[in-house]
Amino acid sequence: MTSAITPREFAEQYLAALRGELDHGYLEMWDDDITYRVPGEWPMGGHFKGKQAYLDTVNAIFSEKYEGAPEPANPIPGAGLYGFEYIVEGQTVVIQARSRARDGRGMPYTNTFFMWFELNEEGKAIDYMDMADFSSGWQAFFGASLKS
Amino acid sequence: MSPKECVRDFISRCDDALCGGESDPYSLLSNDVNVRVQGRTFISGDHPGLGIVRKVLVDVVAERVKAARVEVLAIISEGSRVATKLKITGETFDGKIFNPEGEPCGCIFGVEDGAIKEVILYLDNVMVETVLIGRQFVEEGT
Repeated sequence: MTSAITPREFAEQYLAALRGELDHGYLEMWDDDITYRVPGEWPMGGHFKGKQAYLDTVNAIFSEKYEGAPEPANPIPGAGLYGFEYIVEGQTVVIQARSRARDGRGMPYTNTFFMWFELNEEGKAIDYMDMADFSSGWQAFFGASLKS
Repeated sequence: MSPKECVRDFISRCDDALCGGESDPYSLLSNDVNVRVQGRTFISGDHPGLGIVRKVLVDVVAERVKAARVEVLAIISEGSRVATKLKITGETFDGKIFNPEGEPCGCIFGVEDGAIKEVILYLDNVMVETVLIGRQFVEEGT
């Protein structure tokens, strides 16, 4: 059984789709039954079963809070994720990437991501985990600050 | 030993040592290892060399953590690079539970000549801030 695209190709195309550089969106690269995980107890954290669950929750918040978010929010030039390492075994690919965005005040913001994708036989993501410094993300996009 | 086997052995030794066993995880780290903890927390940044890893990273965590466990949930490798999902759980000296749901974190390893030369750890930094050092997220202005 072979994929429509290799995991490495998937990863590069996915990041390009997130940056709005392709003629399709990143969600077209997700299987409808995907499990999407964002660890942590913060406003965008959780386990989301199915693309629609993501659209109803994370994507809605993402679009509202994150200038530079992919569709349907308002992209800014150059915003998005840029991969610097890809590790592939079988149908799994792990990406390390730097992100560039603007925070809730419109100021420049960066983070570093660990993205774990498992692909199905059609080359679509069926299991996906995003990991990054969500402590800074919470502060940058939700107006939170840390109190000792 | 393959890079993947080296990492599995390292994590197994870490867990055994955390449980009071005799295992020596440090013997699988290169003397010039660099451990990078991603983010902006009190343990974030580069820890270059085995001495810094032991005396800064591990010892500063040990000031707060009474007990901890670590296990590999998933692992892949390509050449000398290994990517893992790890489950790290623990309890602080003041009774706070770190990662009660057993959520995975991400960790990348670089392995050369049977020793780990690079570790890049992506922890749940919300939990690092709130559980390990007792800070709170509040709305700005409060």
